[in-house]
Amino acid sequence: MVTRRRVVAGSIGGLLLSSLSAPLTFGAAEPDQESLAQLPGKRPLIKRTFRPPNYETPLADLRSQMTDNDAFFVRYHLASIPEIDPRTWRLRIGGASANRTLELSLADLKRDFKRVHLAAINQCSGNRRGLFTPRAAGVQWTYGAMGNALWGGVRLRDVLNRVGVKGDALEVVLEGADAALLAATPDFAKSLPVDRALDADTLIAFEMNGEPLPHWNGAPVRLVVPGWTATYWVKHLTSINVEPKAFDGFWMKSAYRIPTGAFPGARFKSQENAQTTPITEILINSLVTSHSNGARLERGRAAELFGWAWDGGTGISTVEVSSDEGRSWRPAKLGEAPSSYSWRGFRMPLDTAKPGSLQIAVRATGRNGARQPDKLTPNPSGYHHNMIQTLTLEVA
Amino acid sequence: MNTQLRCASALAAALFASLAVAAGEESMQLQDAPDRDLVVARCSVCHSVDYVQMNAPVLDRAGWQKSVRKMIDQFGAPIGEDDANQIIEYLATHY
Repeated sequence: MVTRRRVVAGSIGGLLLSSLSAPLTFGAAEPDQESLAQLPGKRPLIKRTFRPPNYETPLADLRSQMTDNDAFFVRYHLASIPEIDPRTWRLRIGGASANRTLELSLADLKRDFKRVHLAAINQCSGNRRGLFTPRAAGVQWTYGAMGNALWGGVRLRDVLNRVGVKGDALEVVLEGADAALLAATPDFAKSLPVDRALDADTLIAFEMNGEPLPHWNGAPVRLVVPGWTATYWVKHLTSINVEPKAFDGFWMKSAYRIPTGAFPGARFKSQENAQTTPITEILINSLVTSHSNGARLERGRAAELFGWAWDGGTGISTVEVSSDEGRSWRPAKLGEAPSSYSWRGFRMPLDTAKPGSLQIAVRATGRNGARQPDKLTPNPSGYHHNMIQTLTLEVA
Repeated sequence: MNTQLRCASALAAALFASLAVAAGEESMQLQDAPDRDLVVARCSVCHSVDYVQMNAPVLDRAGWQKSVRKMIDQFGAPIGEDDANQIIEYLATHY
């Protein structure tokens, strides 16, 4: 295991720039220590917890358009994670609002349904929880509980149409093979509103970046719900049930919930109450990957800020960069996005002519007009951290 | 060491010797203090103890109490009242 100290220049930047007129906060608190560790089949990742395994992708591995499979983040709630033989794996489809039941092998899925490929961000609901103020309990992720990949599989809709969805269908319940060590612990199961399950972009995926799904990312088959946070992307998928009533499992009724009305995004009405509602869509966000906070730049040497912007599938229209604490903004040059669910690159030259601190801030705007906020919306679980990112870079 | 603690220690040792423990996990140690073995034995049934270290900057006494109650009431951890109180006391004092 390798241990490294984070650069702590952020706090210095915060002290130097305590300008009253500055709308943005520099030098926000960050966890001070990161440990790298390696799961079988993965390269060293930031270890948050050993068991159940929770591993975050380091910034250096988030610089490619598609995140490498062996660098992709790992997130589990429950510690019994079976190695599944893809030849004996079966997917069972049915439920009270299905006309019939069906059992499919992996070969059936590949042979009997139209093959679809889609590039999409897979982002944990709690990505950046570790950067929340006030702090929120849970896995203390920083920036890397996310990645972008090309998912290959079949449409959930095509499989559901094979069993026939009745008119009274309300939700589709999804279960995976991972399980708790104690029988009394709630098993991990999620549901989707039936219209989201029947969306042409919701996939049953068995490929990731052209390879079979890695074990730690849901082999042999997982759900892909582009635009929605990763909690719905059930791994090691084993059953799909179409139901006429709201699913009352722990991971819907008690976990992964946000205050009702506090955030934009699709509403999951059959699971909503006056106080809380399920987290659904990914909010607009961006991440600088070329530099981390506190990085040093050589004076007079050309340098470029680079990173990604993404949202819940609307697509990114502009990314702007400020180098004066958010008083003025300039548009960055945007790259192509392989799909509206994928992240989109941005780049901006950095001015290294003068020595001193560069106070960089980045904000993305979506095609729907949504823009990253300059403040967090507090919520007990620390979800939806999409505040404008600020970095202090030192030119010397 | 009372009987309960001896049992807890034996359970902890058995856990670390079993396949349920992830590679690297056995290198972790919680702070040496009374009831550490109890905490390790009870908490390690379901998860590695880095969950304790990770949440230490986040949770105060009330937070640890809530967290331990969640493990018992919602996740079904078979921990009695006395053990729960000792676990909360250890976590609140040392983390």
